[in-house]
Amino acid sequence: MGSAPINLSSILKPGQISLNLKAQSRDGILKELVGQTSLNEKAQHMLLVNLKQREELGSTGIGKGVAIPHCRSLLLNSLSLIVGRSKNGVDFDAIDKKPSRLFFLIIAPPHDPQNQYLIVLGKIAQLAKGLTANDALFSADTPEDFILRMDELEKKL
Amino acid sequence: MIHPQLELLVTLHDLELMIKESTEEANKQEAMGFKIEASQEHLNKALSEVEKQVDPEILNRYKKLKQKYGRPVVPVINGVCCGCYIMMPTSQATNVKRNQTITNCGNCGRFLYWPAV
Repeated sequence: MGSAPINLSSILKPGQISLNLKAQSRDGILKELVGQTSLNEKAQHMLLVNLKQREELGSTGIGKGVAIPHCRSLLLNSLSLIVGRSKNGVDFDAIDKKPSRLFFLIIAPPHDPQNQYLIVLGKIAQLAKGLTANDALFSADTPEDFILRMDELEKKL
Repeated sequence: MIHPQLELLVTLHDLELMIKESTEEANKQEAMGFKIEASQEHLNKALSEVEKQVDPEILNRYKKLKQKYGRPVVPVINGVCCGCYIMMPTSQATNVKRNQTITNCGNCGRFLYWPAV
């Protein structure tokens, strides 16, 4: 029996989208994104350290203004997807050297029998490659608008 | 609050997982457009720094469990140890001091961590 297909727009909840990130640095952006999780302060700190280690291994800035910080961690028991947007963009050492404006934080538990982590990671990376600089994801006014646009883009994948 | 030694074990586990996946899944991630540096030197260094802080007796047990099972720290989800899939005794599953003490599964012996939902 196959598993149900994963739908990004159904995983993403309005409360997990922050369209006006304030931070001006990579670490600041990561901290703001981690602050959107359900973790307590200590666990947020542990996760932040983990994400910074992952960035040192190679930037998750995949170009076109998008970065997808990600890692697996024991700290959460289900996959978590958090979105953040920065108006001016931040240097994330992206592949195209351009500032990153849109951030998708993905945290997955080690215990992930359906391998949702790689599926979600792959879908978002694919979706990001099809974005243009004027895409509505960069200008959506509300988290709900953002999810609608994500849904449209996902259907085209 | 989380027990300081358990915090180190979780950090150790997550770091080891990152090292493993950055080796085994590097091709998959690179195909998605991510950069993965060949050198994991900084991760190995971070790992040994964490190991130095772990109580030697606990570290010894961690390493033995790793050798035996691969994953020495496992989450408890819905009262079940995700290492051996045995339901915890009620007293352990409902322990309000979860994560504040070092706990091992009564069946497989793995270190237990109660993650956030």
